[in-house]
Amino acid sequence: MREKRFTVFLTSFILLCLAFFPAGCWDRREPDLLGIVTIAAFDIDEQSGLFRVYAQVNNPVGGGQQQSSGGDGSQGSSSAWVVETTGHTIYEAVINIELISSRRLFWSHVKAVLFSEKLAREGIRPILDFLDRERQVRLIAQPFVVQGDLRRLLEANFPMEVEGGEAMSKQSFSIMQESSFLSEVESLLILFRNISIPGIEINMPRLTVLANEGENEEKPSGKPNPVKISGIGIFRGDKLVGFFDEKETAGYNWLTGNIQRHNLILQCPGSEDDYMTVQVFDSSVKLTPEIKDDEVRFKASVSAEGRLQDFTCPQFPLEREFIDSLNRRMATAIRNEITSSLEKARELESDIFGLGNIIYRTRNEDWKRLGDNWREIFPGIMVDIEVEAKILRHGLILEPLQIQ
Amino acid sequence: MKLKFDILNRMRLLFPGKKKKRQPEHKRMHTDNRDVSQREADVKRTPLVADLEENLQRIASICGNSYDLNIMRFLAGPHEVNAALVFLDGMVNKDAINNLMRIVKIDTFKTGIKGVHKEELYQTLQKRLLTDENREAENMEDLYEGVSLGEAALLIDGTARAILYESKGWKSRALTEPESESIIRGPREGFTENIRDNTSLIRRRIRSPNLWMESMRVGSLTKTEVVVAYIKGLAGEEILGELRSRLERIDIDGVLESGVIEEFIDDAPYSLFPMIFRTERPDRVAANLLEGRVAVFTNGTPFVLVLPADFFMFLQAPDDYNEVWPIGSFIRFLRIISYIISIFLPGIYVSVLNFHPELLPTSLLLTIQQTREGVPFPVVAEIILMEAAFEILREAGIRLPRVIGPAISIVGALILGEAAIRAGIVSPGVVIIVAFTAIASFSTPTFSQAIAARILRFGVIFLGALIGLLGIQFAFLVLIIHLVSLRSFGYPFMAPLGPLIWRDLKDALFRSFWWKQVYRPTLLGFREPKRQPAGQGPHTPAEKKQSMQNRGKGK
Repeated sequence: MREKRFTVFLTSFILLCLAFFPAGCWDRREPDLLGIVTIAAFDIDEQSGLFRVYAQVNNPVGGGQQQSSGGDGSQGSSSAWVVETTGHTIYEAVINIELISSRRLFWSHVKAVLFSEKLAREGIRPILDFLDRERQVRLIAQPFVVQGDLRRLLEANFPMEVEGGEAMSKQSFSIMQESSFLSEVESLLILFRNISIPGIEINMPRLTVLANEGENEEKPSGKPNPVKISGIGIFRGDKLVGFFDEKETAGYNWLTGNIQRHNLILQCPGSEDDYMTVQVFDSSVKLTPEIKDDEVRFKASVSAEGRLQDFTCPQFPLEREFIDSLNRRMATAIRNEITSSLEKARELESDIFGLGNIIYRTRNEDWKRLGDNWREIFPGIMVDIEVEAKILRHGLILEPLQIQ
Repeated sequence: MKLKFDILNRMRLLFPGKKKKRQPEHKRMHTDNRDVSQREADVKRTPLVADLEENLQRIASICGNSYDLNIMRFLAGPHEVNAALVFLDGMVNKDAINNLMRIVKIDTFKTGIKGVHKEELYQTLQKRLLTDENREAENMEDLYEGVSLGEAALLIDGTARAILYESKGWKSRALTEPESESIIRGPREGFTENIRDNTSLIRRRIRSPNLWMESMRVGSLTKTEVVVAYIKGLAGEEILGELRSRLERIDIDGVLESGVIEEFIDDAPYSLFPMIFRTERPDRVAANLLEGRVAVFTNGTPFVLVLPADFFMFLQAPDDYNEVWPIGSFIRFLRIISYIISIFLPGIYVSVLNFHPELLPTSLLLTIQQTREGVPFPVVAEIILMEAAFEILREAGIRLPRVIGPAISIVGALILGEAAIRAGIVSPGVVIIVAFTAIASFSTPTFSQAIAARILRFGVIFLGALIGLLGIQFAFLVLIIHLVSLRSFGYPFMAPLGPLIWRDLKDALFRSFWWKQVYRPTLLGFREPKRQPAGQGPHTPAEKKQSMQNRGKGK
């Protein structure tokens, strides 16, 4: 009995221990052996054509938290260390970083992945391939197309923030929450999703380095935020072909149904100098394809609900007729945004709205016919836009504020 | 050996006249060459004889003229029969002795019997004195047992028996609040070292004749009184039978604390987890008896064993039941969470920092990395160092006199911790983790359960440092498998979670209303599952009317 129990115990113990082996590899590292990368940036070297990789590595010895903000220049300097290497492949460049760094780089905490405009125009496939394969990089990092000097951006100090990657992802997050000047691409995951879906082109938020500010002006409160995040970069395949500005990005969001909160600035009816703001808080879009032989048309019906955010038109009390005219103005503004966005997309020959994908999903027969040369067909597609806009919840404040 | 015996036998055959005569036991006891167990056996064999002087001599030889052995010789009755009173000084109440002397010396004259013989005197006293309390001893073993309990033995010349007169009167501690189980709301009485006081505390709480108490002696030298208390008809007879047989099996020289008994009757002696619950609080014992459990009182210790035990008993406190149910449930759940924390937190810290730094929020990782700069040890060494330091501190704090105790905690917690961080030997994160774990482990109400967590913690740290969260998971699994496999007197240790018993969950992780606890624990109170009628919750008058009507219909 005792022997049998012992055998059972031994067998189960060995079986339990075996469970360790298929579970993966040994990767024990002390925190002080890690160089924590907070931003990864990719560029291309014009002369040699090699890839250039920047990594902003947190420097724990230099004081992760900025100790003093003003006055002492040396102390307030960036807590990060920016490394820069080149290589024929991305991974070669990454390996080259290890040669000049005392600590192994740790990529899991990368919050922002930056692509320079130059590189994006050349094509970002090699980088996406690297990011997909590298197991440390997490797909929740925020991708950006950067207009401006990468090095300067990486060395910049962000007011209010400890490290740049977090600052950038926070900034883009709050912009996405409060306005529609960015697309839904808030992580590499969505980028990878879009790239693998047929009939849709990828886009990425645009990050502009404001080069003129900061260095010359001596401000006691520290350097201003050198980064503006707005608009999106439009790709065709893996190559950047152009940018949408804020208005066009809003149009993109209308058509893809991504409007979370959007502010429309409208002229007052009757007085050209006065403006009002309507904040859209609810919207929906329905895109239906109509295909006759080779002619493809889309019908887009957009509905939006908004509230008055501010209102300075003095002469009109808020009556039903007036609200109706405001509704029409709002609808027109929305239509304008969508049209401008469509125009730009046609010009760039990039179907970032995913119109092709709608055909792929709903008219698969037609997609088999059209899909192969969709990029040629897309610029010729007509989109009929129907907008139904309503201003609701103007509340009890019927008249503009009167100053007695 | 065999050969030797053979030779001896042959020798005896050759010289039959030389065979040594076996001496009577009491005479052999004068010699110094008898060992203790032989002497004990001799006491058992020694009878009382009719001759008083002989009896007294035997007592003296057994007790070796111990200084506290008091032998009062006197003449009793009108015929002045030789008599003696034997008792241990300090164990008896002097008033009771005086009372006895009055009875023996004066009352025997009042009997009016002329020509009282020795035998008749004894019978008179027997009639007069023998009650429930006072017994008769027929041999030396019974006599000494009575005397050692504080009874006085009355020996009359010419009678081979003795009357044991109840005169217990030793000093015992007053009922104070138990220090190891302090509470906010509830009775302030605790058990003492005196078993009679302890059982009376239970008697006072459960006034049912069905509260049965069985007494037995454990320990060949200490002869410690052990009392098994239960509610007849509620406690499972199988559990009682098993408990009796385990108690009877114990053969040890002395039992000075219930821990000895606990280890002898433990189901899983190799497990870190205690299989038997012990408490100093009579209210807890009473509550457990009402659920169908059995209590084991041991003389000389305030700790009473309660069995069968389950895991959640150790994490419960009387406050859970005495406060209203949301508070009771909350504090109990908090305690369970903190128990888990006290086992796993340091291990998780080590494994996350060493294997999975991506799990931490970026800013937290950066802060930890920055504060760890210059610390010469790996995280696991830091944690083990600090845990060990804490364990030493805790032990020192317990053993120190109460006056110096706080000094240790100040030196340990404030100065040592602060200085270790300043000197860069440990990082602040580790100190926070160790301190928090310590606080969490202090919230476990039972010391034995908390100490199990403390020891397990080191295993978890080791596994976490070896293979990361996989090791933590492994430790968790092994722990769960171990806990579920445990049985306390046949009762599953993890019930009602181990075998999932829905009905009993009302009083495991959370506590439900008292009036909702209609049933006793399923596996314990199976003889009479229903504790109280259902539907005793508060009613609006309308509902009350309705329920009265329903009750009427039911009849």
